[in-house]
Amino acid sequence: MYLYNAIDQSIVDARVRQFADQTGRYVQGYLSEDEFKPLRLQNGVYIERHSPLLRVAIPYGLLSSQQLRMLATIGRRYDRGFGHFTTRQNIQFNWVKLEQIPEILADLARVHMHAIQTSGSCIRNVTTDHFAGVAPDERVDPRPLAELMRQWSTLNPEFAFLPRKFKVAFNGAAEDRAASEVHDLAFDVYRDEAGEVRLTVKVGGGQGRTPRIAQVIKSGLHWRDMLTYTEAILRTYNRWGRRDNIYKARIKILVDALGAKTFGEEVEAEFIHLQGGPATLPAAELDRMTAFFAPPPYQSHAASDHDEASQRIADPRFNAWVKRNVAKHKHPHYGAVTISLKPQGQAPGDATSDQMDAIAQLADLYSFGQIRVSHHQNLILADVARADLWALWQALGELGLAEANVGLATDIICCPGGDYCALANAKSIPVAAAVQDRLAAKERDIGTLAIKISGCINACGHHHVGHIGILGVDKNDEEWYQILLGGRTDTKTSLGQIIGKAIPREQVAPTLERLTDFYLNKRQNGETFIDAVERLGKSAFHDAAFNHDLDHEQQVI
Amino acid sequence: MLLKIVKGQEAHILPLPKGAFRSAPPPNPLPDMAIVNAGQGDVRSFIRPNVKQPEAPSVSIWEHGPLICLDQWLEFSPFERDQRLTLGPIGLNLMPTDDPMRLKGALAGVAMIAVEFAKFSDGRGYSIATLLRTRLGFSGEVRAVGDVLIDQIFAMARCGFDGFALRGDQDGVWAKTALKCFPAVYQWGADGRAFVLADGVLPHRVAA
Ligand code: SF4
Repeated sequence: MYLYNAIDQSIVDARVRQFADQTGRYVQGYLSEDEFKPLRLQNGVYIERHSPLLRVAIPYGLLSSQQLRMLATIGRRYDRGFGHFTTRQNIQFNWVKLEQIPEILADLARVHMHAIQTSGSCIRNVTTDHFAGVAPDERVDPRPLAELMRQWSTLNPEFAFLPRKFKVAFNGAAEDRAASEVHDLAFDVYRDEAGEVRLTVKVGGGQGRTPRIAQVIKSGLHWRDMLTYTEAILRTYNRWGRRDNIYKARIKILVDALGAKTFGEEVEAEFIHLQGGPATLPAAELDRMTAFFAPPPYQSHAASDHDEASQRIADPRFNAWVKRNVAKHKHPHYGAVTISLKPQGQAPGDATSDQMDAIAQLADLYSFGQIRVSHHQNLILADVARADLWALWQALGELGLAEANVGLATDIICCPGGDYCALANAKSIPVAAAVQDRLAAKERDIGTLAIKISGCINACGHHHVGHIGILGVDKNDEEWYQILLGGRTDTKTSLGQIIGKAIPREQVAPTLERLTDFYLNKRQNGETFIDAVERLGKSAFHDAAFNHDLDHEQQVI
Repeated sequence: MLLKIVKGQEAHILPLPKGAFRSAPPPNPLPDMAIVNAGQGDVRSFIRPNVKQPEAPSVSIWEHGPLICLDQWLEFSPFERDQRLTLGPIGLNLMPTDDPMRLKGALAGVAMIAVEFAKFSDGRGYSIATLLRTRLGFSGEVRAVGDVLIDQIFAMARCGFDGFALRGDQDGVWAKTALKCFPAVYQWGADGRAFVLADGVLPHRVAA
């Protein structure tokens, strides 16, 4: 992984000092509330419902065990002994004190971490495939480019006050595990016939109030021009993006207004002046950066396949876990293990400090000391020898982290919602718990199913791209929920559509059960839930979910 | 006051006439940290979706007289421009919505361009300055005016600003420190400062 040099360290240390100074001036009344707000947001500090919150950047979701231990320590020392992994591969601490945040940042800086630009109207933390570097369907490992983007965007002077937030994602594989097409800027990375790394550039994706799938404005962009081209996009957006209405300020609205073609032409006109200029990446830079992400020293374990097979026969729980939680790896003797942070009875994405410490230790033992965070809010040990799977599974079991539910109904993506978030219309954590309760027994039968819950239209829980999405809405000061169906981001991106009217909380889990029961009755030839939705149509599912015998009370909406 | 960067020298402070900088807002109350740390509850009702856009510049003069707005300057004939020049150095005023590229070929005789920050969080001025410097090659003063606060001037300087008409309540000494708050920068900027992602691998970039 990328290691800071003296310059990187000096920049992050300077940011810690700068923020400590800004916080101090705010506390002393030199900075007004309005003036401090963008400054704290650009450093990941929100004032939430019950407490300030600190969101820490985990660039493209990659952590060393040392970093994870520091996160555990921060959770213990400054929070209530846990942290929450987010859908943007970051972690947030929900219960911190504002005046302690400079201290936390100093602790983070010691392990090459920061909270820079994890919020605010600026270029946010860069995300990518959580299986980058190990996925068999990968064309190009996007992490070197993601790190270059991280550096370039860090404290970028021109684009610190964009009309609105700006999220960049990279995908380098056949399956888009980064949900890149719902980002403001998405790069598809591939190699041309000559072996040169090139990029397809898409803009204007996003969720929230106006969900959009990103559209291609450029293909065949040479990686050397990645930053100059990004600069051209951002300058176009910074100058012409709307600022009169925060709900219409994202780049997707500008792309909508101009049309992707015209927007692309505007960018191109800007790019002409920048191409080949001083911001062009030097030829050797990609090699230098790629070296940081070189594969670890894999060993061949020829006999392991047999052991694994007999262990799987011997213990069906192990078998189920391998089936669901261990993904194929480029190296035949390795697997990428997902540690589900969705056991029942725990808020999705939460991990206690003790769990983080334990996972850090397992990473040291079994996965070259590295951990990844997926946007599904799970943790991943990406390089586990298959011969070690049994031992790892047992160790995880002792920690209560061997839930074999990856990709199943209880592996729910869920935003913090009304329990924490000041913007929420409705709670989302209890809804996730109710759905988990309801579907746990059937989930193996149901198979792959992505349920995603957001507590409001901001869509932090990605409800637009869930096979089933759940959106909290406010109805006369009561918490109600809208159900969406048919979203996905895997091999293609599509946005879910609202089905039926909003329903009260206690109806959410039964409605989902009717949807999955309908699927179980109608499925053919092993098709997945989402395939069945596409084959049978959303209205068939709608009817199954909503036009059933309700008692009168439930029908009053 | 005006914070002025002159290449190769320490930044210095100059006086400005009233009207050439925005005056100080009323003093801030001290935040109640108990309330801040207790959170803000449900904030949905405080959110104002419509951000007021500026209509008039917040400063209208500089030390050499009135500022000329973009449209007015472009309407002047070459003769009128020359006439203006005999009255003293020329200062223009650009609003956030103004397209600086319209000044192409019309910069002769312009000594200073004031870029309006109606609100410090409106980032268009950064791109305007970058374009003035890198695309139009403007070498006079590019001055940030309006809501100019010390927490933004480092980034402004990187985009090519070399004059800062600090808002009335800003501290000049702090401002000078703020200009030096980062020892290194990653990305190319209009200030021409050496940057990390530069051509050639610098030896000191090797991981420590
Ligand atoms: S989706 Fe809404 S409720 Fe959920 S975390 Fe985001 S802003 Fe808060």
